[in-house]
Amino acid sequence: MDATKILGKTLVASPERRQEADADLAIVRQVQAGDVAAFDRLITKYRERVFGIVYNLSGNREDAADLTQDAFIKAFQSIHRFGGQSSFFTWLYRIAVNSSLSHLRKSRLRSFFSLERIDSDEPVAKEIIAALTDKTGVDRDAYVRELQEKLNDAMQKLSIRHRTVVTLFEVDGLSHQEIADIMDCSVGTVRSRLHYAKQLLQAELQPYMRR
Amino acid sequence: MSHDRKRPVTLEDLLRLKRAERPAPEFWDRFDRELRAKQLAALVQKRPWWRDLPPVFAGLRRYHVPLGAAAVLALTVVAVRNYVVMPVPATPAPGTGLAVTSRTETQPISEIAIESSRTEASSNVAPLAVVAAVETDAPVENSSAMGFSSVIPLIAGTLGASPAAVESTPLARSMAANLAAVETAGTRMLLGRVDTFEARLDGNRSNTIEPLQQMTSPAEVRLARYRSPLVATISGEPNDRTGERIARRISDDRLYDQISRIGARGDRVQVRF
Repeated sequence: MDATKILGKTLVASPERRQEADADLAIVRQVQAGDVAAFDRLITKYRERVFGIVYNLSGNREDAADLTQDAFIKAFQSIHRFGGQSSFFTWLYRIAVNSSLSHLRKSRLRSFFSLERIDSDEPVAKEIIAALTDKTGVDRDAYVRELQEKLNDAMQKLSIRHRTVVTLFEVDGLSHQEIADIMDCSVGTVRSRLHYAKQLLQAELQPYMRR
Repeated sequence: MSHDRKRPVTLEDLLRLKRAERPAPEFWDRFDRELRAKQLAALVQKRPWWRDLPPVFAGLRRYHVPLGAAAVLALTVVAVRNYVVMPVPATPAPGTGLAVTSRTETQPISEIAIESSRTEASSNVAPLAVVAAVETDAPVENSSAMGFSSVIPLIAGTLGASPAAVESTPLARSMAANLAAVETAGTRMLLGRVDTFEARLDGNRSNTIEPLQQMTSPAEVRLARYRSPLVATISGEPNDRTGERIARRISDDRLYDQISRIGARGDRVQVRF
């Protein structure tokens, strides 16, 4: 499989992404050749990212775990059909997102939410939390918990498609083109959805933003 | 550090906090165990055959609705066209006496006249020349004159099939025998009774008067009310027959002219010239 085809399709601009795609493709070829254990490396590599996407879409830890596992199983079952037209992670994300969207449509009325703990050791999170809780007399943990719930509420108020775009762009850091590939729509549609979703989130989270 | 604390917090920053939401490390142990079990189950489980179809149709996924609509449309067009030009078998089967003629191929079925005549005598059915008119406005006498034995090929549902082939089946033979027996036992008498019954029914129908016909329309009542004083003023006598005759002669124009000239209000009568 030529790597240029992958690059042209997914616009993996950075060299790291390019190397990553090539490495994934090599592993996929091993699995397709019969080395089933090689798939475990792909699971280990992508499980947290896929879980993060699905968790932010569903807002529920248990559902997210199930959907992530299902996405890996589906990918494993269909790996012989993976031709390399897109990068493996785009393909895997597409499976996970489609499974999540299907699940959310089915269980729209009976959804409940559970929040994960924010890793306060991460530098970016630490900095943001410090900026938010520099006022005296504020219980930091309680404030972070409240903010987390408010964030989750605001995300769940978005439609499924808008939530997906925001999650893939802001949380997972994918490019517009990659999101368009995953969601099977145009880049313009992705930008439009992102703009609209951010407007709604801005209105919801205004009290927590500081100028 | 204090500079960092005063930095503005944007929406992107808040959303970036979502990245830091991570499950505890022990969560992944359980996750891996469950995933392993599901993976093994998937390996053992027999996949349905359509999952292994080549992904030829995968590219057509987004065209499912337009393709389905086009297929339905094409099917409808073909069905309608076939229905309109559906030819009635016009040539008789060789060697049989059954002749089926149709006026035109695009003619409605109700106007198709099917002539069937037998030229050969079968073993247990009497020969009978029959003209079966399927027209809806055909007189009843035609249908009553039709022999039942000629209906057998039509009942069999095969207009083009030869009577010999139809009568070769035991069912057809028994039906033919039964119908021939009924025919000889007094079909005409039965049909004659039916005719008299229908004639009686028609007579009763003509004698009945519709309730609506008994009602006088408001226009007639109004006209009669206007005509009675007018006729009285013209003739000067209260004879009903004369008044009626005069009322017939009065044209509508004159009537309404008189009405507009003569007006009555309270105890006064106003006449305009």
